[in-house]
Amino acid sequence: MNLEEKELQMKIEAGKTSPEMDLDEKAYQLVFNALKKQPQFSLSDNFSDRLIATIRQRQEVKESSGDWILLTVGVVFLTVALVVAITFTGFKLSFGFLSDMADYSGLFICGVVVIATYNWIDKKVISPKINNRHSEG
Amino acid sequence: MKDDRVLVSKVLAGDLQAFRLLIKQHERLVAHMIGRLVKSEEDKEELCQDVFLRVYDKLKEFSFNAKLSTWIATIAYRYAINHIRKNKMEYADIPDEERFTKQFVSEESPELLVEEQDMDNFVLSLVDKLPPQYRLILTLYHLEGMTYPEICEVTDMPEGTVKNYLFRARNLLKEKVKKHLGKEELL
Repeated sequence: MNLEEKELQMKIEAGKTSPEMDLDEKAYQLVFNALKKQPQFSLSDNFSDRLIATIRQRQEVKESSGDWILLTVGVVFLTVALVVAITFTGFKLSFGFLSDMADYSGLFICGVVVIATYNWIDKKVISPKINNRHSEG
Repeated sequence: MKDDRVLVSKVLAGDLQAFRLLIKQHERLVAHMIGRLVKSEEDKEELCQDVFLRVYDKLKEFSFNAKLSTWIATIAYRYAINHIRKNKMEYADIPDEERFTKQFVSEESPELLVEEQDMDNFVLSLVDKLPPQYRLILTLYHLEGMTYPEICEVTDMPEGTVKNYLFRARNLLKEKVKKHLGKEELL
């Protein structure tokens, strides 16, 4: 560190300039003046608003992930409770009247298919026609 | 310091309006630091946002060992450095003093000689060409009015290094301006 330069910098910084500045002094003065100038870059007006919105969004995501964790814990707990209950009570699953219907399974399946088909026809064909008739009327 | 304590406790209690006030109080400091160190205009505001998000996340760890502004400046500094390193820009090494001085002072910028609007803008354009460490210390010292101990805390540099960098940066700028003034006198 050049002592003369150091002293010159301290002198300019302290505002002790000579009336007739030499080139070094003048140059330092210009540098020091410029260094105090505000830079051109500045943040947008809504910077803090966007930041607060980001934080709020993060908080919401955190809360909803907390809900999912609780849900998972609940499901696991209930499943464990069900297994424990079945184990300790000797519970046997019975389908009741459905086991009597086992011999009529073909009829049961046919009934489901017929109902589903009627439902589909109603939704895709009949209801649109009725709606069109009403709108024309 | 007392005001900072009240503000921080409100933020930690979940008061986002208090955090908005904290942002307003320190956004200029963060903008100056990031603006001086980071070249890309698109990255500047995003980095500033990352800094404040980090401040929000880590505020509970702030123990008032230093001023709140110094602590925030430290976070801004680290984010800027990481950004510079991620973009493979040189940060770690200050170039060889003699070689860099010769190169910096002798470098011609014809467009600057013709188009420079005023001396302030000319000097600030020269600052942008200095190594990042010099730019940062100039900003913290001259623009933010930080003391040497505060700058040491932000940059984790010894006080001797901070003083040396400050001296060298100002000297480099002075030499370049002196050369420019010398040319003006000849014209």
